[in-house]
Amino acid sequence: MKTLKNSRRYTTEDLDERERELLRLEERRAELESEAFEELCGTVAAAAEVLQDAGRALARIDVAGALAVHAVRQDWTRPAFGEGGIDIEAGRHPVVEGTTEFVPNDTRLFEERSLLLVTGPNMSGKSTYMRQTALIVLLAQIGSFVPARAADIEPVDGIFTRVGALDELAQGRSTFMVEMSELSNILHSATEDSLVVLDEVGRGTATYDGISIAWAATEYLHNRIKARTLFATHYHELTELVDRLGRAANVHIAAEERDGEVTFLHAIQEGAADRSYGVHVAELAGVPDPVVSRSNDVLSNLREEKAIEARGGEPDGSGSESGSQQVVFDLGTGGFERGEPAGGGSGDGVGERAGEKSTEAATEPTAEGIDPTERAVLEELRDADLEGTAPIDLLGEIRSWKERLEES
Amino acid sequence: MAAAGSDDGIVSQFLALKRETDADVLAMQCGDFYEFFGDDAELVEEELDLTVSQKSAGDRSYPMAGVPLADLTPYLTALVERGYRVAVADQRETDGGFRREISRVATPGTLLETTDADAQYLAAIVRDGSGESEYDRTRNRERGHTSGESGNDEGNGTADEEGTYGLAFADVTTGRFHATTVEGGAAARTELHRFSPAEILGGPNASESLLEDAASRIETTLTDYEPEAFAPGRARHRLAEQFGERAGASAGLEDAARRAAGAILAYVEDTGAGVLASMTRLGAYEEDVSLDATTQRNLELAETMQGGREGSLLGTIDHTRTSGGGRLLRERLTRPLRDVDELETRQESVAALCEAALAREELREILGEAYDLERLASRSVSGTVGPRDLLRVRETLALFPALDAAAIDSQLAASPVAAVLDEPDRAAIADLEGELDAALAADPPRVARGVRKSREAPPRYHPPPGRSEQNGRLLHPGRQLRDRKDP
Repeated sequence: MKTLKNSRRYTTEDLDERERELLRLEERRAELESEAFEELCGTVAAAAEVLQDAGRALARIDVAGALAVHAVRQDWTRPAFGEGGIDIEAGRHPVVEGTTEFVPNDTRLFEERSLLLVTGPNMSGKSTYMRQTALIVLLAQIGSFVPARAADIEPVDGIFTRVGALDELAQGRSTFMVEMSELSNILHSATEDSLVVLDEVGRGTATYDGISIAWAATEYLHNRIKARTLFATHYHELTELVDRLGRAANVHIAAEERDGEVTFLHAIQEGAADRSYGVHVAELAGVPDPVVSRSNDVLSNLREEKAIEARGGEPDGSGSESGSQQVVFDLGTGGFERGEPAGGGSGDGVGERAGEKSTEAATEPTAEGIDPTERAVLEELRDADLEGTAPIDLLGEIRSWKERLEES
Repeated sequence: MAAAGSDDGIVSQFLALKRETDADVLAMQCGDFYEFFGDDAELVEEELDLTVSQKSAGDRSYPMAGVPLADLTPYLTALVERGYRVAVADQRETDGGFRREISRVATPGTLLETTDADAQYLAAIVRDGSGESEYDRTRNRERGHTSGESGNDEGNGTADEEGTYGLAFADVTTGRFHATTVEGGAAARTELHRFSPAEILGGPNASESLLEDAASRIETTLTDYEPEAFAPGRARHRLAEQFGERAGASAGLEDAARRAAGAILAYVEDTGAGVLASMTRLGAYEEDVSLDATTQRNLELAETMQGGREGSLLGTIDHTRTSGGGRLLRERLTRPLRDVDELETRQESVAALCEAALAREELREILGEAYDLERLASRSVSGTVGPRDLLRVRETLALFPALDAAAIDSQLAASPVAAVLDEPDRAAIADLEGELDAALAADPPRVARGVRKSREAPPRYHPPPGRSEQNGRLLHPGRQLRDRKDP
């Protein structure tokens, strides 16, 4: 008999025995259950490989289904895998097409047309166009449909890009150094079968350095590597270089001009832009009228006296340096030099350092007296053997020129 | 080294176990709770908002904090996700008492209880150091500095990153295991970016600048692991043990890749995650289409330049219904192919599913019911599944006949979709499902009664081989960088 606070519990021998029996059975039951569970766990663990395969199969069907859903929703198309380079008809940017009304564009890159120079000011959509091409090729090469009306893609062995890098800036690394080491990697790694996308190479430094590097890189990609290349630049001078390269073509973002008003149509057209509209962008951005109109004057003056030599018109030709050469960018205009902050490291990494902008200083031409260091550097630049020098060495030379110019 | 179990020596047991491990924090089971003492209690108070009380032991009093046994996982996960390595000591019944010993160390790369559906890779990296001494390394580094301004011949990063790298990547949550060998620091960075590992084991000669650079770009914890684990002989032995005698060779692995792979296996065993057996296949791979780290970022494949998933290509096209599907899509985006046959097979599936709208929606609906089988497989191997997990396995396996039905009664019958369903061992799947079905109640308890922590062979903590008493640390102290929020 047990006595609790306000009750008494009576029990008998027999009842006690029953209770013990029940507890024993309960314990036994738990033991058996636990054993059975253990065994079951063991069975499942032993089948881990089967489970992995099963999970993988579900994942594959899931991915195919997901890609199908997106293809149907966005009207994507199944690309063919031909052997004639990249031929995209009415391609769109897979991410941007969902957020804004999008103007589709063609991309055609093949052996006889392996390099496209894309011109037009930044806000006109050059970057989007180039990324869209890279993304369409990538999507094709994961087995997905692609955002285009039609696409025929010869698989590439690599996709290499060099575009503006905000994250690098945030880390306080010199943009120009980063830009150049990325360019260097590309020039070393890309092959004939690669897709190379370069956006504004050379903008991280002073105009002359920038244009020289862009120029040399274009030649190297075209003549040596022969990679399928999209090269966007605001250096209009390069469009004339491209005219002289055998397998390169100019394309530009179409603009419509009516009564002095310019609208960018975001549509890619063959040929070089007849002008860069950089001044127009300045106007859009609210730069005061007198500056805009003076910029236009300066621009037209400059257009008439251009000079740099183009090489490699005959990629594997005689190597004769006398053919098809023309001076485009007159480096002798010393006023230029002084107007432009000589050091690329002036921290002015914002926006495009468009030639047009930098020319305001040219309003006071000071063509007399070129300092001897500059003259020496210019001579070395003229004599530089772009074809026969590795890009990295060229970089080194350019760097040393730059240093000497800064010191002078 | 297990401390004998009596109740009054709890704090001293704790301190003894803490000395045994190099983990940052120790959680020790005391009955129905996992307890933290001393500095560790203060740390969890700060990090996890746990309430701290005082426990007197001997003539002094120690801060103490605890979480209920069944609630450890979220706390553990939170600590590890902040970059801490957490040792867990479990209590086991012995004849007439308790023993407590460290059963595992949860680290960012070996965390099983992850809440994230994304892949969680543990990486190991080693550089072939044949003949390269410390002196050479220093010299290279100096050369890198002096010539950095004028560039170098390789152009693959700085001079002290040249050489052949072995890389291995393991996802303990799914049992995926890959290894490869690449030339030069830039290529090594590319692979690290591709897998975005949660933890990187730096082996001998792995360039410090490369590791630090990687850590600044991806969310990862750098762990210095004992160099012996990367030794070619030992690594080969481990690989053979895990994947069979000829696995390394038949997978076409070069020496450097084997060293990295061996080190990962050793680390997973050391930390006691108990999932070694889930790594059933050694995937050697070679980059088919190069897609360097810069390009992966520039094209905003898996995340935007600002770091968000929204606005990236993956964020835009990912309509998958399962975690495994999401992981696979990301893997594919960062690893495109040139194999036209394979690509066309994949296209066939997509094309067929585009056509068969009804079957597609049906399949997707069924997939929405599926649980993460790859993860459940790993957890079953590690011994951390409960009855409900087994139920999930059963429910997911039971989807196969339904998927068959959806695929076969439609235009999909002749497509690769139907073939994919037939690839796993369907007989084994049916057997396993039948067995689970017969054994499991419809609504089993969350935790099996009387089972927890009393099994004979739980995942065990293995002290690393050959460590000395004086130097008895699981992990090398020192360098451990965290690119995470500062605690």
